[in-house]
Order: sequence, then structure tokens, then C-alpha cells
Amino acid sequence: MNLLTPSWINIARTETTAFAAFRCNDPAVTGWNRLVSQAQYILSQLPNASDATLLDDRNKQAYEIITASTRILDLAAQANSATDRETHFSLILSSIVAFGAAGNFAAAMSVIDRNREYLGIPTAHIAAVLATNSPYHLGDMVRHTASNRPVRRYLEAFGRFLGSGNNEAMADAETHFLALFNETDDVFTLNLLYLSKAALRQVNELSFARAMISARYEIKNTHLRSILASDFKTLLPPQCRALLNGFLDFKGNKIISQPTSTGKSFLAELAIASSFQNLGDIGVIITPYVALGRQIAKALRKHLPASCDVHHLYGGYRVPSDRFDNESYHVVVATPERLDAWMRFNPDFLERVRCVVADEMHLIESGARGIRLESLLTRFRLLQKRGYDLQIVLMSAVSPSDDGVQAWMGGEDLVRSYQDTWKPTARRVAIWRSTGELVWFAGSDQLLPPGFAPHTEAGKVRLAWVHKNFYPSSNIGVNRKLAPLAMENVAYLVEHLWNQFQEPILCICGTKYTTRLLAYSVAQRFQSSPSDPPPGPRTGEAIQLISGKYPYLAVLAECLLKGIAYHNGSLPHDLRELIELAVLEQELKCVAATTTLAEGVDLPFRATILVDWLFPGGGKSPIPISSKLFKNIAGRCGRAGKHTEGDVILFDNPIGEEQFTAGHTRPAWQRRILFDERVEPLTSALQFESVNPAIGASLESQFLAAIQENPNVEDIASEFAASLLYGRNAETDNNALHLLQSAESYLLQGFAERNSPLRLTEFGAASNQTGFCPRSCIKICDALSNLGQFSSKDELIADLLVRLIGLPEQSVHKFTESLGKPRSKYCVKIAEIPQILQKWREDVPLQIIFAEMPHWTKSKSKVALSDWLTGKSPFSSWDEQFDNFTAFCSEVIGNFLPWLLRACEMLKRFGDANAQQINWNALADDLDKIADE
Amino acid sequence: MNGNVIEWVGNPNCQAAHDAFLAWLRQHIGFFIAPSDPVHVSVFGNLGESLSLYIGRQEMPTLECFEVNATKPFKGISSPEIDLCWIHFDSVSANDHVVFQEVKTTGDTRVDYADTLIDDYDKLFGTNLQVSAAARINAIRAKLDVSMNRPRFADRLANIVGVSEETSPRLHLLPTLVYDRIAPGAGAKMDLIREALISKGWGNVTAWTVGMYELRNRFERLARGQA
Repeated sequence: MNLLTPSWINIARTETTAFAAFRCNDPAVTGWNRLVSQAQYILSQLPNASDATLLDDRNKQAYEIITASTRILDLAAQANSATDRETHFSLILSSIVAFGAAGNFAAAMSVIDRNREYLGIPTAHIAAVLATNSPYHLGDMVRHTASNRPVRRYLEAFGRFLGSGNNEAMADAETHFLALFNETDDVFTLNLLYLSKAALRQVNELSFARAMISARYEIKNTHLRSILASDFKTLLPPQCRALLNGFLDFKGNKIISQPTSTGKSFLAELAIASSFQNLGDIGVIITPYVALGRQIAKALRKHLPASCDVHHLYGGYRVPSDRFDNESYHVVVATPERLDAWMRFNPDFLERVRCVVADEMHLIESGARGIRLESLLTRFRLLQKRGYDLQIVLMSAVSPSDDGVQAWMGGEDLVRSYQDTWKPTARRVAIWRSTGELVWFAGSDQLLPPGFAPHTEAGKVRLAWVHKNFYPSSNIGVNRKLAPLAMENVAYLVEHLWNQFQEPILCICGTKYTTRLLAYSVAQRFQSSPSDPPPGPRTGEAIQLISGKYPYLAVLAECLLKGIAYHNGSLPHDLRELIELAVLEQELKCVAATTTLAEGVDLPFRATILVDWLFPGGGKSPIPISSKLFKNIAGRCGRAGKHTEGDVILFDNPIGEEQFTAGHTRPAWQRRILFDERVEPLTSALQFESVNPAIGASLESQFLAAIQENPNVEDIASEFAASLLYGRNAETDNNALHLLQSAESYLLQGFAERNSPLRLTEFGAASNQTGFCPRSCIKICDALSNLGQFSSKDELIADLLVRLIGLPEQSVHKFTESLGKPRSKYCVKIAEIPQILQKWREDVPLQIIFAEMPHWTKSKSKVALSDWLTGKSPFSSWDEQFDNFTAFCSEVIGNFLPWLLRACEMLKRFGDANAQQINWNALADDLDKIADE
Repeated sequence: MNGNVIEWVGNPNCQAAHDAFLAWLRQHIGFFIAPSDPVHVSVFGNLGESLSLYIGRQEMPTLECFEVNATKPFKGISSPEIDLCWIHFDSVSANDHVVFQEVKTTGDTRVDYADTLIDDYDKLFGTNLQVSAAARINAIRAKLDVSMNRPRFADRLANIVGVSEETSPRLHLLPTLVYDRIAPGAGAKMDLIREALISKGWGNVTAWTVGMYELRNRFERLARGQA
């Protein structure tokens, strides 16, 4: 496509000027008219540009120019909202038409939804324009055009095309569309219709049904037909490009590396649906987070036919109870831990698995969980090598499909990559500096003007910090005193952004403590007034829940009344879910959250503030977050279909270790976080921390499972090592083999026999089903051979816990470290564990269990526990004690203990008679509170 | 011609112009406002545009005209866009040009109303895209492309509007004042307007005045089809 841009057009510079001017009221911008005229010029070139194929890589630069033009119009519409109605109306409609011409229907939809009230009930011709540029609104627009037959005829023909994708239907739609030109003399309407010709061409290209035809994919399978019949009418360009590049036909492994909000989950659905051949077939989606799993499962239920069962397997390691009959198709949405158990207990099912999707594949890099995920995929790779008819799909927004991953997935012939850089929303990056300047950068998300780099300043606005006197310190006490002042600064920034955007803001904090402090500070800035609307329904429910069930969270209830919330792992699940729903319904102004809300889940935040850029790492002090994590966090704002832009602002937080926060080093660290353009390859967790016992344990446990699943492989250690991502790296290849050979030697001491190939013994097979690593199984058996006499089951469990607390599978290290230290300030004392367990089983609320622990009577806290419990005294040390307590309950009681007790059931026949008499599964079920949905 | 302004008056007198224009209205519009119906103020402005169209057709016979209100003067409403767009498609497409004729009609004894012509032309590169030059041209392209089945001519107009007055040399302006000849200084006023537009960066500006005595009364009669 030859998009002629005369020398007097510099669209990249204009776009940068526009986005900076919108945010900074830049006095250098003499007027929006000059900016808008450039965008209009570009868009005027498009109506008859039949070669303007969005999907052709040769047109990439032209589309970057077009995209910049769409953004200019969108920004102008937002910036000029206070001008006369006619001007604002014209800018809104022009930006909608521009997004349609650029094939960004999601953005067009968000502009329509954002201005719904303003647009009112459109005239019939404008309704035709809106539906053409945002096919999602077709149904709505048909309702507005009942009395106008030509428009009605067009919209019906348009709908027929979207459903069928065939040429005749498009020709019919085009004929009716062009006929509308004769039905109006209104200049602006004619202009919009004319520009919408480009959008109609994009619909033709991006129609889901059309793409299926273009890809010559024969829709034999009812699942794909069902998806087609759902509300999915048009594709995002990366999805369309993938389909046209044989995504459905190619039966090998696939690596999808595309930015957030570009529809990777939908590609996963398509991969699973197209892989189904026979009743009984199984598709698997591995999801790292429960909330993300719920979102995926919901979409699957909506799109797949009733003949397909969707199974949720969330939480920790647990024996599955779902039925997987041969009378329907099955999709399993599972956390890695649950999938692991499912595979070990259902080896027969593995032959029926047709497709395995790993969402957020970059989490392979995350410690013991990462190595579990890597190993699970490796186990599927080994099955592939044995001829199992299954494909693996890896997805990530931040990890590329590099040579290492491709080799891991089978190399050239067996793997295909679907990489794309197209983004539905613009990402704007800023720093709020301690100098009181909010500085916006050119960023890497758009066309850069000549001479600009991503870190070039695009514009700035003076926004003085409320508190200025900070100094770098490694002293925890000093930093603690400074924290509330820093949060008051952030609260001011939140207010500023809210006044500008009037849309939800997410604040990412490094600790739970900071989330509470910040939410409180923000709420202080938003004073209530009688004219405020009442809280939304979900917010209201959350407030009621606190009042009835969780009075110690009174501060949160106060915050919620003003549309402010915090969200962290210490909040009860039911309350967390309500807050997520309130965000989804856009009832809240601001949420301060830890990364619980920052990764993976699709919530409509307009802006993200990175409150802490130093996050707790492996060591004692927080360290700068990785550029990869920052990119993932940045992807949380500006969601497709809800927004056209997302702003991510780093608060130049001066609190933390001097080596990072001292004046001369801070900018360099921050620049590295924001602008590191190096594409970091996906790396095995073993590469980072091969000495971490939890990682070693996870690997050994997975190796055990691989032995069971591959009974005929001669040298499973070498095969497994070579099939790991870690094993694909020439430098670490030997290392992987060494690790597994060492594990193999250990297994030969009772877990396995070398009958060439390696075979698990009865003990080995039982150990495999526990999910624990072999060394842990030995320790569990030792404990089971030496059980004492206990007056209650809670004492029995407590004793077992104390004896096995050091297993690498137990992740609450603070608890482990407190053992044997009588003066430890850790919230849980060993002697009190039976009492805690009893109350836990009786469903006593956590805060009550916490408050009733006897050792608090010796507490020297200035705040009475009863005051904390009733919410009368917020921000005391009780909050952090309770954070530790909830972590203990969730991880140790809710996760580790049920897993351990079920392992005892599997291994009890190797213990003494005493152990064999106990129904360990019943004990586990008593503690396990996560029910399958 | 008075300096840089072309002044149109009836020849030999206003009634002769009135009669000729009435004949044109009969031929091209075909109906008039009934004696019992009121003549809205917008009709007055629309007739000014019709009169300019009538003159333009004779003066610029090779140019194609796209108008908004001029052929529907009795509709009772008046659209805000540029009134008359004259297009010259040259044998060499690079020489194509468009003439934007904005018409102001006044029956007053003063001609200050003509000053609003500058505001109207300013809107061509303003933020109200309903009345921008690009929107106006795109609407014409829509007609050429679809209604008139001349897509190649539509494409020839794609680059005619730049991003400013200076970058649109093939956009010519023809500000026009239709006025009652009793009002003095129309030529001088239009000369000032022409200069003001040039100073804003427009490269090619010609101004017209169209003068008739008893303009209001004549337009009232013309609206009813009376001589």
C-alpha cells in the first residue's frame, strides 16, 4: 500500500504532541485543529485504497501511520469534550470511523460505549456507520433503524456476511451500503459513510467466518461451529493472521507471543476446539491463577456447545473427582498443581488429551511453581515423542518465541510461532518524579518521531509532591515512618488521574501493608458529598459483607463508600471476588493491590500506578522489579474493548535500600525497568536457582511422574533432561542431565528398579501419586512409622506438621524459621496449632481464630486486639500479624496439610499399624476448603 | 470588477436580473412558496446561494458544482457547510482544483454581516469536523464515487485538502456577498475580507459581490414565483 504522506505531514510527531498535550495541557500546542487535520488527511486516503490489506506485512508501516491518525482523533475527542456539542460529536464519530478504518473494532466499540449517553439514539445512517465500524454493536443498531428500510436492509445483509463470511453476502452488504449514499445529502453523514468504506473492507478481512474460508479450513467440527455461532464475529488482526497462517490446520506445537489484550485466549479455545476428533477427547488449559482460570472457563462455557464439559481444577495438589466419560468432549482448566495430580491419577486419560495450552508461559521462570510447569509440559513432550496425538500451545505476552523455546517444543518441523506486535490500545508511560514533574515519555508503543527514543520526554506537567522530604535509608523503622507520607503523595496522583480520566485506576504495591495504607490515603482525598451516587451493587454487597462478617475490615468498608478499595491475599476470598466484580462493573475509582490483581486477569483499569518499583525478592530487602514483570503489569491497563489507551505511571518512590534509591542511581534503575527493550529469552527456573531445595524437589517429583508415564523408555533420565527447556540450552544441558541422573540414583534406592527401562516399585508408584518428591516421601514414611498417641486428630495433625514442616514443598518459611525459637514473634505458636485446626474445621472466621490465640494475652501492643477486631483501630501491628496468619492458614492449613495428609493415606501401608488405621483422606477433606466448581 | 472584487449587478437593471433569475428558478426548482405560506428567513439565505449558483454556472461553465442549499432554496432549513463547491477537473490531474464559495446574503443597509465569511472559512481547518474542508470534499467524493459512478474522479480529490490553508494550494476561495445595493461599501468590505483570508495563508482568493436594489422585497417575490 502506497500511503503518500507529503513532507508537511509528520504523523509520528503529531501523535506524540497530541498525547502529551492531552495529558499536560501543553501550551506549545497552538490548537488541536492542526493535529486533527493531519489525521483527517491520512484517513481521506483510505476509502478506495483496495490494497490497504491490514494483514499484509508490507503494509505495516502504512498501518502504523493510520494507527497514529486514529489516536490523534481519539485524543482530540477526549481533549475537546468541553467544547461545543457539535465539535465534540464530530470528533467522537470521526475517531470511531478512524478506528474502523484501521481494523481496530475493539477501540471503535470502546469509543461508542464511552460516549453512549452523548451519542444518544443515532439517526439511521449514523447507526449504519456505527455498526460498520464496530460490528459488536450491530444488534443495538438494528434496533435503532426499524423504520428506515434501506439502512435496515444493509444491516441485515451485513449481519448475514458476519455469520457466513461468503463473498455473495459481502457483495450484497456492499450494494446495500453504497445505496445509503443516495439516501442522504447531509455532508457529514456522507463523509462518515465514505470513510466507512475502509471499515467495511476491514470487516471483510477480519470476519471470523471469512477467515475460516480464507484459511481453507473446513469446519467439520461442531465445536468450531459453536464458537462461530457465538458472539465472536470479527477477529483482532493477530488472531486473523494466525488463522491465515494455518493455526487450525497445523497439528504440531504452537507458540503464541502477542501483547496483552490481543485475544490469545480465544486462539487457545480455537486450538482446543479444532483438536477434538472423537467423543471423550480432552483439551487442557493450564492457568497459573484461579481468577484467570475462572475467566477462561466462563468464556469456554459461552462459546463451546453443550456437548463439551468444562472442568475446573483449581488450587493445590489434590486427587481429582471429576468424571471424564466418553460421551462428551472435555476441557480441563487447571492450575499446574491440580493438573499434576490429575495426570498422575489418570494415566489412561493421557491418551485422550488432544491439546494442552499453557497460558502465561513465562511463569516457567518462577521458582518451584515454574519448574513444575516446565516439567508438566516436558511430560507432555515425552508423550508426543511416544506418538500421542496431542499438540501443545504456549502463550505469553512478554516472552518471545525464541530459538530455545522452539527447540524445546520440537524444532522447525514440529513447531510454529505466531508472534505479533499489534496492540488494540496505546500504552503511555510516565514517571512522577520527586522533583514534582509528571513526565510522559515517547514510549515504544507507537511510531517514534525522528530523533526520538522510547525514553525521550514527550511532555510534562507540574505536579508537586505533597510531601518532599524523603531520604534513602536501609533502616526499616525509618522507611516505615516515611511510607504514609509517600502514600499521601500517590493519593494525590490518583486524584489527579481520576480528575483527568474518570475511569478506574490500579495501584500496584509491593506489600499488603502498602495496599491498605494507600487505599486509606486515597479515600482521604475523595471526600464524600451528599450529591455522590450511592455505591454500586457489588460495592454495596462488599460493604455489607464486611459489616456482617469481617468487622475488622471497617477501614476497607469506609474506603469502599468512596469507591476506593484494596485487594491482597489476606482478604477473605468472598470479599476479594466482590471487589473484582466491582472493578469489572467499573464501580470503583481506585484499587490498591499487590500483584494478585496485576497478572493475567482482564479487568478494565484505565491507568496503572506502579507505587513500589522495589518488590520483595528472594533476599531480605526489596529489589527492582524485572522489565518483564513491568511489561506484564503495564498490560493490566487499557483493556481492548473498554479503552483506547492505557497509562502506566511509575511513582518515583524514594523509599528502600540506598543502593537502589539514592538520587544518582534511582533514575538508571527506573529507566531499566521502563525502557529495557532487550528481548529476554524464556529461561528455566533451574537456570536461576538450581540450588533452591524447593526447585530440586519439584524437579525430582516430576521426574518420578515421568518414569511412571514412560515405562518403555530406556534412559528416561536422559530423555527427560533433553526434553526440558533447561536441557535445550547447550550450557546447561549437562547440568540438567546431572541433576536427573542424581535423582535417578536416589530413586534406585527403593522407588524404582532398573529392569532396563526404569520401573517404579510399589513404593515408588505410591510415592508418585502423592505428588511429593521422593526425599519427602521417605520422611513422610518415617513419620508414619513412628506415630505417637494423640488425644485428638488435631493433635495428631499438629504433630505431623511439626515433624514435616521442613519439607521443601512447605512454602511458609517464616513459620519454619520460628520453630525452636521460643522468643519468635511469629503469629503462630506450635502449642496452639491443634486449637487453630479445630476452629478452622469448624469454619470459625479467621479473624476470630486469630484473636483467640492464647499467646496474645502476653502481647505488648499498644492497640487492644479487641479494638483491631472491631475495626476501631486501623493500621496497627495487628494487621501485619494477621497477614502472616492468613498466609499460614491459606498455605499451611489450606494447601500443604491436605496435600500432606492425602500423601499419608497413599503411603500409610509403608508406615506402622497405627498409621494404617487412620483415614487420612477424611482428615484432609476436613481441612480442604476449596471445592471444585 | 472593482480592484480585486468582482461586482455583479443587473444589466440593464435589477428587474432584468430578477426576471432572468426567476426563469432559472422556474426551470431548475420548478415550484415556489404558496402565497398563504410564510417565507422563512433561511429561504432568504438560500436564495442568495441559488443566485450565486445561477451566476456561477454562467461564469464558470466548465466547473462542476456541488451545492447544499442552492437547488433547494425553499426547504426551510439551511445546512452549515460551505455553500457551493466548484470543481475543475483538468486534463492534467495535478491541475485539478476546487473553489469553495461561501455566500452571505443581507438586505440590511450595512454590509458588516460579510465579516462572518472569515469565520466560516476558518472552520475548514477547525476541530468541528462536520464542517471541515476534508469532510466537505469527502462528501463530494462519496457522490462522485457511488452516486455518479466516477470513482477515479473521487480519488483525484483525495489529496486536494492539505492540513492547513498553506498546504492546500488547490483549494480556492470565492467569498460572496449578496446585498441590497442601497448599502454602501460592499466592494471595499469584500476586498478587506479577501485580504484577511490571504493573510491567513489562503493562496487563491477571489471575492464577489452580487447587488440588487430592494433585495428583501425581490427575494420575497422570487420565493413566491412572482416577477
